[in-house]
Amino acid sequence: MKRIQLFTLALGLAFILSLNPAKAQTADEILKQYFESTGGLEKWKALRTLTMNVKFNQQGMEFPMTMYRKYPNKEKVVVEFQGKQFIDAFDGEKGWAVNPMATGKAEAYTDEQNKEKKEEMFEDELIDYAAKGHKVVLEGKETIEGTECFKIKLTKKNGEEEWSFFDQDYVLIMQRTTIKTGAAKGQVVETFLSDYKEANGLYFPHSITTKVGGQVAAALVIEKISTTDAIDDKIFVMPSN
Amino acid sequence: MKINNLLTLKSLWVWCFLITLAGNLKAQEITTLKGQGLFGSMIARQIGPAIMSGRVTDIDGVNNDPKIIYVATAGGGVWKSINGGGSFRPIFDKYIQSIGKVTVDQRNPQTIWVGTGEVWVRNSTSVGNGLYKSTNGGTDWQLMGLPKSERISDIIIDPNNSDIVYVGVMGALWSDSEERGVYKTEDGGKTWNKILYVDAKTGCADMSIDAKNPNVIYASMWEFRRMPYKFLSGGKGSALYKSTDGGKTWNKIHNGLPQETLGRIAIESAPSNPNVLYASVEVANKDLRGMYRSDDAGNNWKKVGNSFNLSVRPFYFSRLTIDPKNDSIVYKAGLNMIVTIDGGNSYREPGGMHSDIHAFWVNPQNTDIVYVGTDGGVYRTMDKGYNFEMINDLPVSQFYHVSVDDEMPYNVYGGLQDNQCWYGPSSRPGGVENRDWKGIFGGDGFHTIRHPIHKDYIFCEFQGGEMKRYSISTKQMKDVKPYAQKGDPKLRFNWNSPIHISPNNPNRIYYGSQFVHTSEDLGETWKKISPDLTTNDPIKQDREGSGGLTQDNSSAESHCTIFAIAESPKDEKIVWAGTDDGNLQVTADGGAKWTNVVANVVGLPKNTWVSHIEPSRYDKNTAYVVFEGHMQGDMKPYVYKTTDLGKTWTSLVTADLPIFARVIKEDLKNPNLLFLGTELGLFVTIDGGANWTQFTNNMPPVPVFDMVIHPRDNDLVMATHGRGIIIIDDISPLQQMNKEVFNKEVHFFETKPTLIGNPIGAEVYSNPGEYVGASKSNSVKIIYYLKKRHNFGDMFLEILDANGKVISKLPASKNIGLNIVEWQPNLKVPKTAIGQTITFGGLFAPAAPEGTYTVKMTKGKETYTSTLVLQLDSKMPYSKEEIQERQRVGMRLYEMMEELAYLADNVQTMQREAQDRAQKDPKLAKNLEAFAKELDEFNQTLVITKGNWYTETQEDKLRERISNLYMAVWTYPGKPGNAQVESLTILEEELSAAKKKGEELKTKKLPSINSQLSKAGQPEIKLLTWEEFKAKD
Repeated sequence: MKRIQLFTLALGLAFILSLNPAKAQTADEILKQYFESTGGLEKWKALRTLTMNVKFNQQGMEFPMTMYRKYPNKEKVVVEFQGKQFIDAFDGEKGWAVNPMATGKAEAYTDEQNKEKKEEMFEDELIDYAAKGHKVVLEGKETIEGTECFKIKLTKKNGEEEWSFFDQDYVLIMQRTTIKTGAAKGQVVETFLSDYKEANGLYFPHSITTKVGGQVAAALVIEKISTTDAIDDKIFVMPSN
Repeated sequence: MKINNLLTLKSLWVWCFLITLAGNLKAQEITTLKGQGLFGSMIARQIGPAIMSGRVTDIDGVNNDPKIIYVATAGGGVWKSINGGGSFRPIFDKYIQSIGKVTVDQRNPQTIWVGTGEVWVRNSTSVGNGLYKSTNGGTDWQLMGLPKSERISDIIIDPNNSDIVYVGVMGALWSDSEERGVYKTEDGGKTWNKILYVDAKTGCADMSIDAKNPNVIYASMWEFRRMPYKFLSGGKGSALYKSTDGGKTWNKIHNGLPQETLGRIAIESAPSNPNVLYASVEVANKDLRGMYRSDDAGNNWKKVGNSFNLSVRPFYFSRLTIDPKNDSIVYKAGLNMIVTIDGGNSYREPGGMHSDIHAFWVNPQNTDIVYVGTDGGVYRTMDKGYNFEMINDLPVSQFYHVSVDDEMPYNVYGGLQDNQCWYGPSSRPGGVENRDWKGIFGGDGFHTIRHPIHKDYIFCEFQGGEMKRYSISTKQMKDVKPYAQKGDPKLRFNWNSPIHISPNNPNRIYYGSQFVHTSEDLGETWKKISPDLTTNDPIKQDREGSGGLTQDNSSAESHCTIFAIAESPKDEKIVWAGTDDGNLQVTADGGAKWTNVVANVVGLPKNTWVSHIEPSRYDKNTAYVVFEGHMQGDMKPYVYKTTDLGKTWTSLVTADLPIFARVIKEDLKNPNLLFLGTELGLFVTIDGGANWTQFTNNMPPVPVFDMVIHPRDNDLVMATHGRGIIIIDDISPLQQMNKEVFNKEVHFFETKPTLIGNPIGAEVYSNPGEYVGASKSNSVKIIYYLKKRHNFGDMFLEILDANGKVISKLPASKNIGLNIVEWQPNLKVPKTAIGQTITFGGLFAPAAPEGTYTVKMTKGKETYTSTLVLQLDSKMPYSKEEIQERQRVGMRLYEMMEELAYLADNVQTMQREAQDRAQKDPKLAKNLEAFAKELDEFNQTLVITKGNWYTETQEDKLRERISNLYMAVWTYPGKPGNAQVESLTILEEELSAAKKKGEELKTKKLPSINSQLSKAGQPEIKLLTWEEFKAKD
């Protein structure tokens, strides 16, 4: 009995140890460590769909939200409120939205929105970044809200830049910084990630807080993640009203 | 079996190792009380203002996309607009904020170069620390060298090769420096060569490049020096140089220039015709100063103008900008702007702008559009300088001092560089806007203090001791400064003279010349309570001799004056006075005897300026003094503490402090908590100065000139010299931070009860395009410390009422150190009946009532609890009974919203299901459809079923009427009106009748329908119970 306990404990501790970086030095080592500790690169690459039940907190109000995401760049977000559905969706080429406060019908994205959205890929851009034509640089260390992190800059093929901050203890992404395009071009958006939990063998942050100009813009708490749903492509396509 | 054994053995070994490790970790106590965790998610609040803006030092834009503009400032960093100046945002907030030059690489306009350190070298100018480059339009920056340059005057990029960059280093203002000169890189900034150097006194003031032949470079070299008491411009080092080989060799080009000692020269080559050059030349001879023009690329010069504005204050106004398309149009900075459109034959001086012009940028695609940088922000003209509009989105205001009053919300008072004295609210619903600020007095503004008792009066001043007493009610001011009494020498006042109000007797006001003066009748009469406390060194009092080639007798160099006065809060007889020439004097008997204690300060260079004195509020013999010697070229911090009234001193300076400091504040509650304002922002210690940590959360490394802690609200209010007023709301967690807290896994900080119910009033008619300062959050703050960051598993907070019911669940903050989670003290929004449209009442959450609440933190498997208190604001003009009545009526309406929601859910479910079953079974269709029709008609009385939320809508139904009344009652904190209460009664009756009807349908008709369905083998219609409905998301 005692032996089993110790065995279990040791396995648990071995897991924790495996999360500890072997003094990751280069950007590639850090990324390797990150994907390993969050479930394994091959598993991440095999991921095709995500369904998330989310509580969306904005300015003291909470809304239930369901997010559907599918490889390579399909997405649908549904927020329910007073029995009405606010929808925002993209089928890989074209996007649309339903706002019950306006016409209540599906309205197509503008070309500018489509262009922007098309670049938002399902798969983490850090996966096989070189094959995607992106570049990655380790820009040293930076303290993010008290924690010293590795700072990795990703320059996408299209020139967009994005920074990821990995904590040094577990090599998890604590923060991502992106730069807005479109109307708020150049505005820095900081996304803080925490509450990593496992879903089907992959570790996902279950708490996502977005700050713009240092102020909290939105806080998401993910209540459930499913990686195994076969999501029908049809749900992303704009209905004919 | 073997494998198992092996595993076990191995595991045991690992286990033992880990136990040892864990043991070590446990024993490892945190003893160094510093690091960013100290502040965690505590964030500073910038309130501007931008109404008067601040000194702008340079402007550049993108030639191919002139909507993109960069503005460099004297103390507020670099700002970017992507819409032609419609709005701006700061892009240099992590770096030193004093900027000399910003230059866009026009071949790669995402590449921006910034040279730090202002070059309009007035007395109050700050310092820079090198050259920076961004390759992504200002998102992030790299230091490219020249860290000791102090001031960078120009950056020129070879128009054909972005890797070739010339940089003009003006260099140190208050000392010799060998860093001065012109530098060149040919590899994009990796390596630099100094290609022109004169001597340690002479720096590069300006450069220009031939737009068609980039091997031709011009450089003006300037000999200059500032001292605390004098400024000198000009000398043998000053000269104008030209190179035709990319900087390898240089020749003076003085043919036609005055053949005498030169001062500061501005040089510009016309982009459209490089043979045409203009130079603005400083010499002692007033007839020979002014604008010169060359038509042969510098071989010969001729004077084309020497009016007042073409020659005034060259150290401050020395920028020439030539129209990119027309070599005859030249803009020259001056006290006012000057423009010639005929190559210098005649000049026009456009008005309508803040005076003191420093920079121009001409839109090359439409040269009628010109941006102008002044001491009061950026102006834009669309007609080449006939009419101007001010950009109202640049909060780069330069405060010298700050004080607060006790209004709700409290007001902030302060004086600014060239921008008079102002006051404005520390917070406002919707944000602090430009229009909220009131300007009260002209000139440069310094100490501005509302009298704590005689509240109609604000004491304020302009430069050189001009103290005034301003009446808020009459808006009139009276000159109340002390005058020299019979037998007195001339009074010497500092540029920034100290006004101090006694903390023990607010009727006593102090003012400083070389003497300490007091008045106990609001400035009507004054008494000297000291002899001359300065060194009274005549060498340092030659104001008329200041300026060098161009006399500059403002009061900026007035010296041998008192700069700081402070009475001990513990003993009104103890008064401290510090002078700009380095005397630190103290009296313990109200002024009868003064002792100069500066000689006791070990390690302090002679004549170091006494910048701030902070007598302790805990002990009368204790005081903190900040000295600063940057005007003697000494950038080191000097912060001392005495506990024996100045006999001995201990330095509080550690390696954590990178630069000189100006002000220290002792906390009002915790004597170990000190705040230090430095030239690179705010530093904080929680252990009495043993360790310092820089506060960087939304706080740029901007010079902090003054600070005050609000005694009621516990806010730290900072006067920054470049980013306006910056406030850290509620510093109570820092007051409670100590070694024990640092070593706990989780620690909740005590917070004051949150006042609720005070009307905030809505003033939300904003002026788009104008800066809006952040308002103070009115939510409850839950503040805790975490020793480690939380990464894995759940962590969240719940708020429980007195009955243990969870009324709110919040995402937790999970950082190392201090964490702040804000909770809007509200209940959940009511469940709302579903109709065709959304009803706004359903978005509205009622306020949580007064009381004590439990905060429960779940962190993985552990839970931690704390409490918070909501307390009615006693300042509200409503009685407890009135507030209770509002609570009663409001909560009744909340219940009614939910009761109606449940009724509508029942009705709509029955209707929907009946229609569904009717389609499935034609035999039952008639009955079911009749039932559904009755339900539909009933539903139409409950909620809106057609149209939209705006004008295509039905008349209000029961839901809308309840919802509107519910909102109306909750949006006013006092008693509901009688008409509202009567309306409630009517709605209660109507709801009751509707519920009764619903109940009949449920209990009488539904069973019969269900029995028919059952017989036909169809599932019965099931309704949610009230409990099930309530539990639904």
